[in-house]
Amino acid sequence: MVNMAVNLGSLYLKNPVTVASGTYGFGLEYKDFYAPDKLGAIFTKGITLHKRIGNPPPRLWETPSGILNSIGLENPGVDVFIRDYLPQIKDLDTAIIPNISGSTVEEYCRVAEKLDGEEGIAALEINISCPNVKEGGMAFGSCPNTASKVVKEVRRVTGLPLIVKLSPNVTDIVSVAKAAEEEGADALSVINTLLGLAIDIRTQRPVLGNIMGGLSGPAVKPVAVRMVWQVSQAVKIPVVGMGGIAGWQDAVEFMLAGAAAVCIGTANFPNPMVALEVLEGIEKYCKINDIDDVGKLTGKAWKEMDR
Amino acid sequence: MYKKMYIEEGKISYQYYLGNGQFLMEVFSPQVAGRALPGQFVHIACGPALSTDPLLRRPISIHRINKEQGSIEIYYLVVGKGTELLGMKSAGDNISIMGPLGRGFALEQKAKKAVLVGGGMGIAPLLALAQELAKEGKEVVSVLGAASGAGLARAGAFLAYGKLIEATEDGSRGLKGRVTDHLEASILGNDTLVYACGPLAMLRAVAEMTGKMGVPCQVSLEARMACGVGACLGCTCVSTAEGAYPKVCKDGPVFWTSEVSL
Repeated sequence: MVNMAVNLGSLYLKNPVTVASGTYGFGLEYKDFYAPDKLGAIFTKGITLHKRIGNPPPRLWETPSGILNSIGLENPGVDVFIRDYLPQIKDLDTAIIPNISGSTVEEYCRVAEKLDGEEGIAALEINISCPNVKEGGMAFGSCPNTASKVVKEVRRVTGLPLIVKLSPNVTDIVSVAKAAEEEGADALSVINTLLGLAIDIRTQRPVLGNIMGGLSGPAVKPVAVRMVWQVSQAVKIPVVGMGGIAGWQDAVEFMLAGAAAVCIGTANFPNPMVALEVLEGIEKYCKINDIDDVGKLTGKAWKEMDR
Repeated sequence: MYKKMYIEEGKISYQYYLGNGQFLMEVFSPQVAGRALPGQFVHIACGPALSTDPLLRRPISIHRINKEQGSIEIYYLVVGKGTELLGMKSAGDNISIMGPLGRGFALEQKAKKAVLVGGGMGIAPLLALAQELAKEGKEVVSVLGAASGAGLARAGAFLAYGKLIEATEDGSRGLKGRVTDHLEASILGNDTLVYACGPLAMLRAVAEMTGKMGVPCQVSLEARMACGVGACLGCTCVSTAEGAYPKVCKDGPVFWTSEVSL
């Protein structure tokens, strides 16, 4: 038997396999394929204080082993989430982790406050790294000072575990990670999408309605693994690793690099069953390698490396 | 749990090349076929298993549904990396099919006459619709157009379900001109419903014509898609209501012209 449960600070996950914000809706879209409570956690689509209609189309463009998206945080707003969606997912036997965003620090706090009192929420993921909105989002995650401010203020209004989602579009992700840790983050999500651009050579114009978009998928994996490696060695809080995981081998690689849990994002689109395949694969890998606790994989690559 | 979407390893029973980049493929996919409705689509993994390039599935409309046999037909054009790989498959090969997806054409409507307007590859989803409408006892008129005769390779199949009007821009087959040049006479009169699929310019022209004549009209749209199930919010179109971007995969692909701004 392999112990598959992991703890992200005070947050217990029955297994380390989760689905990434923005790729799994509010947890209902894929239920025809498998029961979502098999997952360790569901990170919901980004939620803001008020409804957001998102960016104009086109919002999506396939790139070699990746996709560029410019959704722009389309969501019905926190009140509608609580009223219409949360009741349908709150009893699932998995950790429900709303991903929250705002244009101002105040907005992040108000969303957190509203969710704080609700039953069925395990933690909050603070999105300081969305590349597709003009205000807020990545602007907060681009420098350690503003990141600190958001985490500090949200920390004041809620006792829920806070997972801060970091942007890779920075000069030094470690300094932002440390700032978030210092202000009371319980864990870090590493990484959000990489800012990218594609131009249609027939029209000679950018393909996305919002011009730039976030790159995700297998194309970004080595960048993400490197950042998990760097961040997990620099902070004491656990890291949730993500960025291009498309199979169990990728997930194991992220854990060896320092992730305590993993998030599957873009790979859900071509293969809705991928999360279950990853879960099964990690467990088998542990068995074959005589590892009795999946947590022992975390950071093994740097912990045991000869320097 | 009540299931409505499936992921199934479908077995290709045949794939024919119809010229000009067009293919007709039949896939044995009993779960998908069992629930499929005209106007819905399937999401197909075109590349080899475990390949990440192309990364996404390709949304392809269902051309014909054979529930007794448990198969569906797709009729598609090679337009890029995904469809090119799909075109290289042969009878006996397996492909991963996800579906049936989306909201199909409105059926069991009051109108006694249905006019199906298809332009180019837009002809693809209309055959399953023609078959269903004929079964409902409607009078079906199919007005199908393409740049040239080669694009009307599947038009003949519509004859089994009603009247067929063909048009080509170069006049190489049927009437010369665009479908919209030959549409008005067919949709005159009450009790008519128009279903259209084709290039955006054609859909705009059809929507404008039917709007002026007060004839209700449905259009089937396409968009680049990732998930196909409404989770990623990538495949938006523009709503006629202010401040809304409906999703082609889940709210559509079929919309009333009153719902979307084309």
